[in-house]
Amino acid sequence: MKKKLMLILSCLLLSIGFIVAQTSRVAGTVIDSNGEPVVSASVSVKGTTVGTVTDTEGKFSLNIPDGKTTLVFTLIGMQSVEVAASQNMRVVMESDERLLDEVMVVAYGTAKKESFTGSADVIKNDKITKRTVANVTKAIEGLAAGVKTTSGSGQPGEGASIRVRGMGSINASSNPLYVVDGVPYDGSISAINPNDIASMTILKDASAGALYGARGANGVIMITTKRGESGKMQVNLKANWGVASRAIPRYETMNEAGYIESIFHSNRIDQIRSGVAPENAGTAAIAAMVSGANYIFGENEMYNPYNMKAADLIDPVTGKINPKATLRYHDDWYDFVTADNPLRQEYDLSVSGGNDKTKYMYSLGYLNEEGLLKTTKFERFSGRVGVDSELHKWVKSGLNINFAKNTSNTANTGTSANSNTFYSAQLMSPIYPIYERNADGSYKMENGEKVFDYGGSRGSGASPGFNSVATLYDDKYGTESDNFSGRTYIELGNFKNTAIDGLKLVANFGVDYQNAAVMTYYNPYFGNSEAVKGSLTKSTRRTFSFTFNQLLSYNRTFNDHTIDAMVGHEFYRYQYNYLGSSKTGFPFGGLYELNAATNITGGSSYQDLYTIDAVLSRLNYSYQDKYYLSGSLRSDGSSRFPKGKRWGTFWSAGASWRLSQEDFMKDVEWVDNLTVKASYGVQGNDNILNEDGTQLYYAWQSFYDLAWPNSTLSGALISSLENTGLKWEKNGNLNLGVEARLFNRLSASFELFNRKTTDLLLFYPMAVSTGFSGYYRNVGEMTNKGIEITLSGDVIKTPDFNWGITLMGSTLKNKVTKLYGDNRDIIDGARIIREGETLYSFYVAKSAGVDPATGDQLYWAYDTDANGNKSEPYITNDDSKAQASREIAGSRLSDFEGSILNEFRYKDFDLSLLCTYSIGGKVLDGVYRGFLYPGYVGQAAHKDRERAWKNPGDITDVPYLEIGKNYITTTDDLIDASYFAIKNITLGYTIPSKILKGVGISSLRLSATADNLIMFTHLKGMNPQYNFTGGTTYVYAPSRTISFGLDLKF
Amino acid sequence: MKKILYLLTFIGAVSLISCSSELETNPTDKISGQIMLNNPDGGQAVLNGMYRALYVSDWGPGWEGENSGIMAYVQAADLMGEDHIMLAAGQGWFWYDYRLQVASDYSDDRGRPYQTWNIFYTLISNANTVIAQENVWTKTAKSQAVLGQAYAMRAFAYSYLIQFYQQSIAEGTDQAGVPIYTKPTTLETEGAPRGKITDVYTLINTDIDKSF
Repeated sequence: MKKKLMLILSCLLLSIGFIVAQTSRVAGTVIDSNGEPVVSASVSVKGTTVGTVTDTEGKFSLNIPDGKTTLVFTLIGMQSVEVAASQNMRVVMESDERLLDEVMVVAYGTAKKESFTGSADVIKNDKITKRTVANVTKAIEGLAAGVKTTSGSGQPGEGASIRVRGMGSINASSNPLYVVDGVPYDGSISAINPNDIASMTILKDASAGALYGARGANGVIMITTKRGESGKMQVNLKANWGVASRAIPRYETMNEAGYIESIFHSNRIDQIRSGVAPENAGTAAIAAMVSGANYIFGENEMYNPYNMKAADLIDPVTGKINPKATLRYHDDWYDFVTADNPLRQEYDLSVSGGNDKTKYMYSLGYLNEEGLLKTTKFERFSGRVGVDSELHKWVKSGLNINFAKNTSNTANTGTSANSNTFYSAQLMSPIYPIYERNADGSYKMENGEKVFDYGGSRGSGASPGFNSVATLYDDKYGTESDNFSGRTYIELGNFKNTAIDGLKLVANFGVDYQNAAVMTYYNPYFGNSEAVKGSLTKSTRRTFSFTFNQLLSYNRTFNDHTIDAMVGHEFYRYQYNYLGSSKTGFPFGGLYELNAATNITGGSSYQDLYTIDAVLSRLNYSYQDKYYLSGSLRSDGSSRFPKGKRWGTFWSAGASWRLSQEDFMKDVEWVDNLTVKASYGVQGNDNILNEDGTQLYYAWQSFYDLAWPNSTLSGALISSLENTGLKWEKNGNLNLGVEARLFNRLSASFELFNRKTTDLLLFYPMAVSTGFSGYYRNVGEMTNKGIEITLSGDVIKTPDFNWGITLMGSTLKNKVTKLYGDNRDIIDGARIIREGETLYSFYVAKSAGVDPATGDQLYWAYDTDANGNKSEPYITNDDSKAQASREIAGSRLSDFEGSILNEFRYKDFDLSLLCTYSIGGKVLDGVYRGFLYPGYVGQAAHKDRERAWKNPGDITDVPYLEIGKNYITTTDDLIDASYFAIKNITLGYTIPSKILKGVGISSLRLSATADNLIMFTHLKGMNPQYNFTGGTTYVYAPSRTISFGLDLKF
Repeated sequence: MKKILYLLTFIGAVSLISCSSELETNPTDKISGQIMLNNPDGGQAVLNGMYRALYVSDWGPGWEGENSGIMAYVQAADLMGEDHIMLAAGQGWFWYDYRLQVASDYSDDRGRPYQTWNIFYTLISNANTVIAQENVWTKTAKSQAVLGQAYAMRAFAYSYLIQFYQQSIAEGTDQAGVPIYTKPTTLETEGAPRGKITDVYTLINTDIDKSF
């Protein structure tokens, strides 16, 4: 209506102009930097009263009086443009960030971006939805400086782990707190449809996060879902189809010939070492491969893949395969269990709109993602409804509800179990067949079907008696969950023109509910539960949590002074109920209910409760939009600590100064914004974990565990000691930053942080003879320091072509400044936690190369006398001396890491390219070691075994490979963790609106995306982003998705 | 407007409900140390738990094949003493006991040196919590029966420890024995040094006397 009025008015103005002067007519189009038409911009001829406004397509035309040539374009929120008039002119108007108050979601409310004294990164919906991910944690990587993420597993629906500004804890969780629509979230992140997310704010420092006192110490990730906006109803339909493949290539392993040759050499040297004359060792080695403890070819050479007996097949001098031999069969187990082009489909429908009083938004989503490992998948049905309504001029209320039903078919992963396909199929030597074969290599058939080979006589490391392909189909693992989240509020405020103007009272209530049914089934025929004729474990896990808070705030501006104060109370309660049972003994396979089984082998149930009660307050003050001060104070009572120690007080203070608002800067045209800021605060962590990473809610209490019945008599054993002094882990967090916007093209942010964790919640070890391994105690200190830089600029800005670059980079230095205080270390395998060193530093023997004479691995070692004095280092081949002389050899932490985001737009095409990089740090690749060293008989071999020492005089870095030997970890095993990855490429085409106008479509965008495209590392196959401690294991490989999408708005 | 007033009043009322008592939480599958030994019935339950630990494998950190309760230690001793011949390594369990090569896994908390130490001292620390109730419980036939069992179990555990970790008493009485603990473990408990062999046997004897 307004537009029409304006049109009429401008027509009137025009007609006036027509009368008074001789004119020339000019027409054109006004667009914004994204190529969208700018509607209702006023167009006037400079120095006259002649003017018009642009229509809904951004078009205008007007008559210019003689002698006038300049047109002025203005619109609120946009920068004014003055250009010379020409025919069919195209004018680009830029949004004015100085004028536009960018509002961001912060702890317990929102803040204007320039008034924010803390450190936070905002990731908007357009960036999130470019990533084809089911779990939004995988979309964070590369979009926030100083935030480290793992790659996450390739299991569909799984997320990534996040660390904000380093690792805050050792035995307590270092995970950030997730907050959804203002309330801490306990549901699973995969229950949130990424399309429903309007933005994510990552709170990094104390000033930003201290209001979440109890749980904010490791950063806060705030997810804000979409809300309706008043105006015309908007319908958005999105569809996306894609296929997955491995994001990281496979390790380079040997084929049949290479494998047999490498095993031959190991056996040959073994024979020589045990006294066999070198000229006879080759023949003896071949005999050892055919029969004996370490034989590989199975009974009667049934697993010799060639059409020739081993004695003729292998040259006893060189170990080479007889060139006349041909393969009877060629099976690749890992390839066999990997699905070809598993499909990913995603559909999303959302409707939003509203009027001045009531706004609504609802959405429906469906996602079906098939996994790279056959049989695995993730399926989600989700729905969200959000309504905000003004009940009265003083009262507002709203409700936002999400429901998701998730179904995951999973697989055993991460263990060294035969049933873990990533272990057993990946490590299967290439000589073993999947199906039973006849002597000529053809399949053995039974009832017209191929028969799985259970390989009773395979090498001991090749899962004898097991077939991981069969297991994949006959065993079952899965989770089905119903997820419900609700957020509701009622707000009393808007008392304009009354005595209590600025006062607001809000009550928020948020609830998260998840009911998950988890199943593990082992078939009765073979494998894990063959002996007990199959087993089935079923459990239901119910999580119910709610947060209820009441916040009273006062926000008013008096002349130059703005005050924003808040006090509140919050109560949080978390309840988890477990009920599970297991049975064994099935009549036959394919029955997945407990009723079908015979013997009850287990049954248990328990409940966990966790509560937090808090009072919180905040005070922000600003003067003339130049000086900002902010402070927060929160007192938290946590049920995890004993009475008397349970209340912790957390606070923050921050300040920022906008230099660019000062008079002396006013004239500096090229500086659009310049802000310096500082903050310090103390946050808390009560998130104590068990050794297995699960939550520990009762760490301070002494308990007797009742799981010790003596036959029918109930029995108990003491399981923990009481520590009435256990209290909060504290995190002092300093942040200094500078933010600038220059030439209205370049934005820069530079931040420096120093986090210091004190009173670490540490498991304090005791002498084993006390009957306890230890107890939780506040001991130890750790620091995380670093720098974060974000630069973002428009390299090219023309009406038809835009090129923007965003660069992010960060450093992190971690140091355990105090541990138990008595020089004791925590050593876990090849990693150490030691005072003065980086957390989880590598602690390994120092390699001195391979002895060319013997092929032994050599080490640098030293002896320690009774007084603890070390001798001069010397070279030895003694493993135990090497183990005793281990030293610290770096850690996973990179020197510098970050991302490069390029965004291009050419007319209606857009292209974005997100790359991440990391320089420095080391990885101890356990999977690679598994391939390189022949720890077990019959496991696949890495190509690097070709370099292994074979004969005296060989100069190499891979020692003589002895079958079954436990090779100790040395500095040579640490691989450079640096990488460069192309995380996402998205190409989009927006069909010009003039074409769609006729069919009632307001916008249609087609896109093609390559997500998780490629990663360049120092070792093919290695995933340097598997975890934060620089390890790898036999897990579900991350996947790459190539997809096509359609985004329709009407 | 009235409806809104009611709504706000209701929310205000709910907000005022005090929540401080909600901060006391307890697990539902475990019993607090203070409650467990209130009476001899609880003490008997602890003894039952100790008996169970003697015949199951899931009390230690791993290597269940070699740590299946007391019989595993009896068997390890038989093998080390050549009373039981082991022909081949088999899957490897007990093989290193037989070859007297257990020293190599001293640093592994699933290995023989650690686990033997662990189970008997676990039994001792449990027995000590029961024995500490001697002067707390009213003396009844039941309390005496429970305490008697606790003393017997402690004597039993120390007798295994001293045999596993030191030569026979015939080799000398003043040599180092094993650490002696007679009080329940608390946070303040320091790892005790090895006492004399005689001290260990004296404790075993007095415990056996008290168990009658």
